Amino acid sequence: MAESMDCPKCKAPLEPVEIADGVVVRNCAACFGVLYEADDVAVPLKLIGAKPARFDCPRCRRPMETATAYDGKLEVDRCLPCAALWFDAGEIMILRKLSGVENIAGRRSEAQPDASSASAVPAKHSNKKSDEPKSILPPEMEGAKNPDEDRAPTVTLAGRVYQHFQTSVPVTTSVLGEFPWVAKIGDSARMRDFIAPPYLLSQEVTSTESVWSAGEYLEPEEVWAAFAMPGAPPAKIGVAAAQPNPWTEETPAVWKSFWLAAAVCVGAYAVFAALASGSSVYEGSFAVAAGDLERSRVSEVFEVKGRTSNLEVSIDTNLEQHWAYVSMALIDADTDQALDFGRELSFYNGVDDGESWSEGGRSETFYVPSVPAGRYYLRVEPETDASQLSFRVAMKRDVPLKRLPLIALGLLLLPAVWAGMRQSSFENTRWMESDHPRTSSDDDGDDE
Amino acid sequence: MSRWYRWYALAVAAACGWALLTGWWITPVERLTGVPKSVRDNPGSYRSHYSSYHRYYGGK
Repeated sequence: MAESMDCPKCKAPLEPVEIADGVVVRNCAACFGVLYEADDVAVPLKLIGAKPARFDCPRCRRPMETATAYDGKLEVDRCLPCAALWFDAGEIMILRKLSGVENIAGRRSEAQPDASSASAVPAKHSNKKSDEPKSILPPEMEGAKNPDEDRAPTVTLAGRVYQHFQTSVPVTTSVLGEFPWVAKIGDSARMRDFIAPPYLLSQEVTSTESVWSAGEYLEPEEVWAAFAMPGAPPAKIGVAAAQPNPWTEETPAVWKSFWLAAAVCVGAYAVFAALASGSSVYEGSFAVAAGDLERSRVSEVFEVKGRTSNLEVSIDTNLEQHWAYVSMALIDADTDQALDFGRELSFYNGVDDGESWSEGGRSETFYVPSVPAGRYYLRVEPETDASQLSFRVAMKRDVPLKRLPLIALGLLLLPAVWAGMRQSSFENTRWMESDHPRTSSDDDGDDE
Repeated sequence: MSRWYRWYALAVAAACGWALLTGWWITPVERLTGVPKSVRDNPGSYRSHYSSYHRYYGGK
């Protein structure tokens, strides 16, 4: 493998790189293409639909051909006489994804497609030992080789489940500083980040190794203090991948309080509804005519019993194309106190262009709050444009209002929803930068 | 916020219970004192707080 070769595409020199024990490929540092011996590709490659390629084999200079695999999803150039495969930049990644094999460098197993088939690349080497790239993989890690990033895979390390965050393929474009390895322009790696805030797992896959790194998010103040930096750290911008959500513990606590308080409100309503008397305390009818000099009327004295509670007042009139305002006073027969209230009613109807309509109503029910027990009589004084108005007034004692627990639930719900939205917004901001944004955007964001 | 909300939820639940207990509601009701004893005998001697109501011109 000492012979000099040029990239068949961009003509830059191909550099031999040993990516596994005994497996040497030739990389193009300019266009990131790579030349494999067919036998050094560990995954089955059933190539079909071969057609002449637009370039020659960098080794034998004979024309190569282009064929496809995996239902046309992968296009590979091959040289049949040399048993060589040329992968353009990114095609190795595609092969990894399609085959589900992380380390594609190595000898194919016997179970793989028939190498003697006309469509397969003939094997050149048969005695090369199989080799896995060097990998630092904790034995307790599960799911680390799941290649399906699109479905948000997880990896588990020491019982902690990490969610896939992002996969990227950074390429070295410039180098500054010193490195314990040979850094080259064009070096690339496949990075996969998994998070379980505040923890982070990163996988870096190159052609020679797969390295996992574990990290933990630190607040800027901690880092600032650790390095004894003067002043204060700069303000945080956005949400880091492994930054803990400050609302993660608070929001469930808020919702717990919500459900408890909601249960109290609904339970209180149920108890009061079950125990409420709802008894009728008064029912009477009144009538006034246009010619009446004095329209006010009073009822007999009636008794309102029990604790201070409400009165449900129903007015039912005979209004027809008229309005009325019924002024009422619930006067304590034993003291000089009164509760003064009134209701307006109107009822109009007709037919316009063949369609019947109506507006208002003849009757209405409302509530007089917090009426103490006692002996009362009702004074009514209607105003109306009708020549005759008759109406009936009925009063019920102690009628729990459904709207009270409903209003309470609304008041309880608003801050709780706000807390949930705040937590969700934080997560949305975090995942917006990932391959799995949680917004309604249809952009997968898969960088591969 | 959870501590603040706990107290807030407690207050809302207590207010709801108190309103259910006392029959409280937001309906405007004028509570008057000094109502003459003679109203039953002479209903016209009492004038409602709302007696200055103006005519309604509703209808389509």
